[in-house]
Amino acid sequence: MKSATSHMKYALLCLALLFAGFSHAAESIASKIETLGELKNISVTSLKVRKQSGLLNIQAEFDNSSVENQPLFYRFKWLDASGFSVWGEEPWKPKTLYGKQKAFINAIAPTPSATDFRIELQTSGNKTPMNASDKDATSIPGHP
Amino acid sequence: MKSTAPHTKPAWLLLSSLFVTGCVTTGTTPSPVVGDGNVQYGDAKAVEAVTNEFGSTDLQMIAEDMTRSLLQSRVITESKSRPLITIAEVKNKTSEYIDTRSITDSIRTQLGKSGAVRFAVDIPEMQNQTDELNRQSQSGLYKKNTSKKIGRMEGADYRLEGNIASIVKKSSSLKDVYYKFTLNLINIESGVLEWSDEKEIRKTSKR
Repeated sequence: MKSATSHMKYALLCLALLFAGFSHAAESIASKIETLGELKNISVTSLKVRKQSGLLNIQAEFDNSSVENQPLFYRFKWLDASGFSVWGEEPWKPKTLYGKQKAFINAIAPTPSATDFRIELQTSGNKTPMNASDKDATSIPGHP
Repeated sequence: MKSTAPHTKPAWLLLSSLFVTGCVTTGTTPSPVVGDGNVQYGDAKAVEAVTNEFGSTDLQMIAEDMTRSLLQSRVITESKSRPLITIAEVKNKTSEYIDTRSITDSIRTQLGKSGAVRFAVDIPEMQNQTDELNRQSQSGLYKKNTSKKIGRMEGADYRLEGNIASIVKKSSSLKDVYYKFTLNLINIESGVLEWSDEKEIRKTSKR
């Protein structure tokens, strides 16, 4: 009986750690993503970071939950350890996610001084702050 | 009745002057804009989707992709010193006018900013370089210890060259343009192709 209780406790502890791990991963992904308005149908399911030849390599996996193709616009911000921007503004880049597709977006930091990053995201179905007055507005970044 | 008039006049004057001051203050709200609002500044990094001809977003994406790829190449990562590169021609094999020099300028700027490579003067800049060298070394106008000597220019280790090609297809309702930009890094001494990458772009529009 005693061993069954200890097994139960161990299982509960493992489950708690597992959930804590998941929530930590979700939290760390969210801390790197900056969406212009609320993303519809698109989510970032994984984010991998490594340093290769002194440059930060990023791989983000995007998931389109809709059956429709979803146009996505993104760009990276490169920061140093103090949070200062170390590179100029990148151009917005278009990407189409097919219905129900999971796709990777890869990026390489432009300079070794980039040790942190943010991903700016926008979908054309966003209700963006840029078009806050127009509730049903769809927009391309920079084209209000 | 008569006695009140002299008192009311200054009061009216004071009120009207306050009103005018208020109007003037609100009418000249400080603004750094000159013009009637017909001209607007936009975002130079915006996705340009005005037509499906080669545009600013294509140029920016190509330059960025090529730069980042080159920065990860063995030529640069395994080099003990910063390699010296010169820019050669990027041929435009498309049917439209594209300023390929603008693409290579962007690549050179971004590579230069990364600090990983150095650039030697390329062919279009050579005339200015030799003119300046000749002026300093042969005109007799400069102090000997500050004038730059002929014969000390550094030869590049590598040259960057490439091409941009396109395939255009049209139907009654659609126009599809496919661009392929290829960039090669060649070792000048050995003639070996050390690195190569390409960027593909597809743009489709309704007719």
